[in-house]
Amino acid sequence: MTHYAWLVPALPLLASIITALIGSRLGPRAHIPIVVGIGGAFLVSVLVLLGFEHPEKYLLVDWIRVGSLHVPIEFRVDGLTTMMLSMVTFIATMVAIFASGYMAGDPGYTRFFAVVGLFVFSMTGLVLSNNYILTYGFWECVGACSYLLIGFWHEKPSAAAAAKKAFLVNRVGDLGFAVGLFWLWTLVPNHDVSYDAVFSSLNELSGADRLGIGLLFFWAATAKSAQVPLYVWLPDAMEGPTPVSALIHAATMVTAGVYLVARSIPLLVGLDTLSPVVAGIGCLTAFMAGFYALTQTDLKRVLAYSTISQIGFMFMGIGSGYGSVAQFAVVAGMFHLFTHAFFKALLFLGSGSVMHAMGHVIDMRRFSGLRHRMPWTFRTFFVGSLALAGLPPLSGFWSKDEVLAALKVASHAAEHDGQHTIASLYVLIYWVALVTAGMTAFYTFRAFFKTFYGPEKLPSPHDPEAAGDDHHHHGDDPYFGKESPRSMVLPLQILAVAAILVGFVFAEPTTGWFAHHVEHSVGFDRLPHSEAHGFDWATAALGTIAGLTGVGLAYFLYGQPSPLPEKLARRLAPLYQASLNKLWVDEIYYALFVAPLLVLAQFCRYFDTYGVDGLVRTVSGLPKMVAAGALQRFGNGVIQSYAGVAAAAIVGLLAILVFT
Amino acid sequence: MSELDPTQLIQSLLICLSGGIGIYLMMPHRRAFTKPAFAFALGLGLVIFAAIYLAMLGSGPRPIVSRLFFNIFAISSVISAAMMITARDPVHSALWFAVVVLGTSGLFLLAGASFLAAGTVIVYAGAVIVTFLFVIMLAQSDGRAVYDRLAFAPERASLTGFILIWALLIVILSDPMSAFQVRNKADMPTVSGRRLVSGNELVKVRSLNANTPAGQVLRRLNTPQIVLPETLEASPPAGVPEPHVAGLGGALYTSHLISSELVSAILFVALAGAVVIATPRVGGVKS
Amino acid sequence: MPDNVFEMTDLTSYLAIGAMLFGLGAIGFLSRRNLIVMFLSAELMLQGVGLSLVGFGRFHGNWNGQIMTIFILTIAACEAAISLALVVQLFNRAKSLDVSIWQAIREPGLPVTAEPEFEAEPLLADPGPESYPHLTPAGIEPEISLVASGQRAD
Repeated sequence: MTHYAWLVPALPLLASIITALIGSRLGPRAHIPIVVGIGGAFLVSVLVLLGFEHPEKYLLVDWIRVGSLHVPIEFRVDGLTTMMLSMVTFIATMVAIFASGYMAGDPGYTRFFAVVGLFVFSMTGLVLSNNYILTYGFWECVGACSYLLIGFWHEKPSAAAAAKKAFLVNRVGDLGFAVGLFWLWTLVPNHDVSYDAVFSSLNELSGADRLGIGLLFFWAATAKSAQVPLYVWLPDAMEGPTPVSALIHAATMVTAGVYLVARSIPLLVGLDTLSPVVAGIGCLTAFMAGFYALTQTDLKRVLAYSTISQIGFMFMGIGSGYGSVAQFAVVAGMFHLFTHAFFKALLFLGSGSVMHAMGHVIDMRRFSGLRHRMPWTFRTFFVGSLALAGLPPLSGFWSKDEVLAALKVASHAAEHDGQHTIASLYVLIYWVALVTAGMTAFYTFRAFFKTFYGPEKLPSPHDPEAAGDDHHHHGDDPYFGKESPRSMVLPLQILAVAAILVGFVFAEPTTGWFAHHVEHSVGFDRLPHSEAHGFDWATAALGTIAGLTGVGLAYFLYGQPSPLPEKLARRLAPLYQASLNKLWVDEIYYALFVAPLLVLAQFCRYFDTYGVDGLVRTVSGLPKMVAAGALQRFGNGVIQSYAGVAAAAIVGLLAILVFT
Repeated sequence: MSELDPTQLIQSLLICLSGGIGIYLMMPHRRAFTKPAFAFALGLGLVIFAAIYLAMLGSGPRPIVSRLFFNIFAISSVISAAMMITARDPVHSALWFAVVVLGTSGLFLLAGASFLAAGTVIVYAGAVIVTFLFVIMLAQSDGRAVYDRLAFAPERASLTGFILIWALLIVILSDPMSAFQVRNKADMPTVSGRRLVSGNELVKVRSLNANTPAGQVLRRLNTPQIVLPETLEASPPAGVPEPHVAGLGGALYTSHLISSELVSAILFVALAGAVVIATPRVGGVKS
Repeated sequence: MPDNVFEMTDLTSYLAIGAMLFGLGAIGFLSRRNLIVMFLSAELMLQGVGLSLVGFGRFHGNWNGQIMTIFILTIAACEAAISLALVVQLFNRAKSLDVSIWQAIREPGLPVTAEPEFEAEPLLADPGPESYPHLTPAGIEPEISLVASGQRAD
C-alpha cells in the first residue's frame, strides 16, 4: 500500500489545478474538487499508515542531474512521514469542509480553495520528500502558499502588510536553511543529500560542521515555526482567513520547522551544546508568547500566541534530547506537534465560527455570553480549551506531559554526565515550562470565559472599541448572532472528538503506538535510547495542578463580570503594559532593522533616480536633442516625404558605391 | 574613384534637366511662370525631347526595323509615363499606364521575351488596369478635386526623381567591360560559369574595368567577370533549339520551383487579405 | 532565344529606359496626392525594374531575368489587390482619395503639412447643361393624359 504514497500530494495538486482552471464555472461549488482531493489524500494516507511496515523510498522521477548535483524527486515513507501525512491531510480535510461554509460568498472563493489545494500538495510533499533539496523546495512552496493566503484579502492594507512581513521574516530564516544545505552539500560523499545518505555518512562530518549545520537548520526553523527571535510574523498572519490560520498557521506549516529539526535529529545527536540551545529557545519562546497571550483582547491573537508558545513546547521536547534521551525527546516533541494540531485547529475553527457569527468581529471586548447562541461552538471550544490547558485525559495532557518528562530525564542525564550547568539549565526550563503550562490554561480559559460566559452581548457599531473595522452590515448577514451552518459545525465536532481521543489512543502509557511508529524513521535507529523512560506520574500531577490553577484563576477573574481584572491591571501596570505591547519587540525590530534598511532604501532610490537614471537620461537625451532640432520634422506623417527620403538614400548609396 | 566620361555626363545631365523641368511644368499646380495649359505643353515638349534623346543614346549597328520599333516603344512608353504621372484625372492616368504597359511589352518582345510580353499585356492592361478603373469609378474621382489639381511639392519631387535618374544613368551609360576574352567553356573556372552557358562550346568572357562607375559597382558586388555566350564565332547549337515558352517554363519549374510555389502562396494570401480588408464591417467602422 | 545579337549598347538602352520609367514612377509617387495615382506610379516603377531585368536576362542569355519579371508581375498583382482594397477602405472612411489626410502618425507637436490651396489649378469651366437640337414635330401629336401633363408642367 505504501507505494501509493505519491497520491497524497498528487490528489490535492490535481484538485488545485482543476479548481484553478474551472473553478470560476463551478461558482459556489468550487470547494468540491478540493474537498474531494484532500479527502482522497487523507484516505490514502490512512491506508499508508495502516499498511506501513518498514521504511521505504520510492523514486518518482529524476529532477535535476547536473554534473555532480543529482536531485531525484524521491518520496520516503517511514514512521515520521506516515504520522505527519495522516495528521496534515485530516486537518486539511476538516478545514476545507469548514471553509466551504466560512468562505461562502467571498469573491475570492475559487482562489482560496485553489491555493489551499496547492498548500496541501506542498506540505505533504515537504513531509514525503527524501532529500534536503526537495525538502527545501517544498519548504519554499509552503512559504509561498502562506504568503498568498495571509494576503488573501489583499485589498486590506493590513493583510498585505502582514503577508509581506511573513514573507520577509521567512526569507531571513530560509537563508539559514539554504546556507546549511550548501554546507552539508559540500561535505557529504557524492554530494548526495538524501536523508539516508547523509545519516549513513555521519562519521565523515566533524562535530563542528554538524553543529554549524544544525544551528543553521534550527535558525530556519525559528522563522518557519515562529520562535524567538523570528516569531514576529505569526501574530500578524492572523490577518488571513481563519481557516488558513487553523490549517497553516496553527496545525501544519508552522510546525514544519519542528519537523525539519526532528527529521535532522540523527545529524545532530550527540552534540551536547545544541540540544540545550534548542530547548532554551523553545522555553524562552513558550514563556514570552504565553506572557503576551495573557492580556490580548483579540481572540485569534490569543490563539496565535498560544501556537507560538506550544511550538516552543515542541522545541523544548526536541531540545531535551540530551545524550541517551534523544529518541524519547524527539518522540515527545513530535507527539506534542501531533496532538497540538488537532486541538489548535479545533480552537481556531471555533474562533472562526465565532467570527462568522459576530460579523467578522474578533475583539473579545465586543461580545460575550455566546454559549446559548452558539451551543456547538461553545461545546467544541470548551473541549479544545481543555486540551490546550493540558487537563487529563485530553490529548494535550499526554503530549505536554511527555515533553515535561523528557526535560526532567534530560536534566538527570546531564547530571549523570557531570554537566552541572546543563543539568541546572534543564531544571530551570522544566519549571518555566510548568509555569507556562499554567499560564496556557489561564489565558485559554480567559478567552473562553470572555467569549462564552458573562452577560450576552453582540458587537454593535457603537462599541467604544469599534474603530470602523466592521466588514459586514449586520442586517444583511443571515448568520449574525446565530450558530454557524452545518458545514462548519461538523468539522468542529469531528475535531473535538479527535482532540479528546488522539492523546489517549496514541500516547506512551496507553498504547505507545505513536512512539513505536515514529521510531521506524530514517536514521532513528542511530539515536541512543533506553527503555527506561515512560510516563512520569509526578510530572503529570504537577502539570495537571498547573493547568487546574490556571483554569481556576481564569474562572475567578473572568467567569462572571468582576472589577478584579481592571484592578489587577492597574496594580501591575508595568507588567500589564509589557504584555499588552508584546515587550515592544516589534518596535525594537523596527528601530534596529527596518528603519536602517528604509534609510538605505531611500538612499538607493535617490541614487537610482538621480545617479543612474540621470546618467541614462543624459545619454538618451543627447540624440533626442539632435533629433528634436534636425530630424523631427522628417517624421511629418506625409508618405511622400518618407518615400523621398528613401529615394535620396538610394542616390546616396549609389554615390558611395561609385565614388569610393 | 572612377572616371566619369564627360560626354556621357553632359548627355545624361541634358536628359535629366530637360526631363525634370518638363515634368515639373506638367505637374498640376499654378507655380509656373505662365498659364497651366501653356506650361503643360512646354513641359510635354521638353519631356518628348528627353525621351527621344534617351532612346537614341544606345543606338548601334542593328537591323534598322528593330531599331525603329525599339525607338517607337521606348519613346512612347517614356512619354506615356510622363503623361500618366501628371494627368489630372485618375482615369486618364490609368489609361496612360495602359499605354506604358503596351510600350514595355513591345520592348519585352524585342528582347525576346514574347511570353512575358503577352503576359504583361494580359495581366496589366487586361486585369490590373481594369481593377484600377473600377476602383476609380467606385471612388467617383473625376479630376476636379483639389488634390488632383495640386501636386505635393512638385519641384522637390522632380528634383529628387531626376537626381535619382541621373545617378542611374551615369552608372548605366558607362561601359564597365574593358576587353573580350574568348575561352573554351571547359576552361571556365566557376560552376556558375558552366551553368550560365548552355549549348555553346566557346564563351566570351569580359573582365571588369573598375574605372567606370558601373565597373566600380560590379567590383563592389564581387562580380569580376561577366560570361557571355559566344555568338560571333560559335558553332550553332546542336539539335533543335527548344521552343521559347518551353525553355522559360522549364527554368521556372525546375530551378525556380520553390520560388514559384512561394509566389503562388503569396498570391493566395493576398487574395484572402484583399477580401478581408475590403469587406465592409457589419455595424459600421470600428471606432 | 532569338538569334539577334544583343550587345552592350542594347543593354544600355534597356537599362536607361527602365531607369527612366523607374524614376518617373518615383516622381509620381512623391508628388501626386491621389492614392490611386500613387499606386499606379508604384506599378510604373515595377515596370521599369521589369524592363531592366528582361534586358539583363537577354544580355546574359538565360531565363533568370524573365523569371524574375514573372515574379514581379505576380507580386504586383498581389500588391494591386491589397492596395486597392486599402484604398476602398480609406475612401470609405474619409470620402476622399487625398493622401495628405492621413498624417496622424507624425511626431507630436508638428503641424499638418499642406499645400496652399490657392496654388491649385483652376477648375475648367463646366461645359454647361447639354443641349439637344429642337426638331419640328412630325406626324400626329400623341395624346397626353392630364396627370402626365401635370407632371410635365413641373
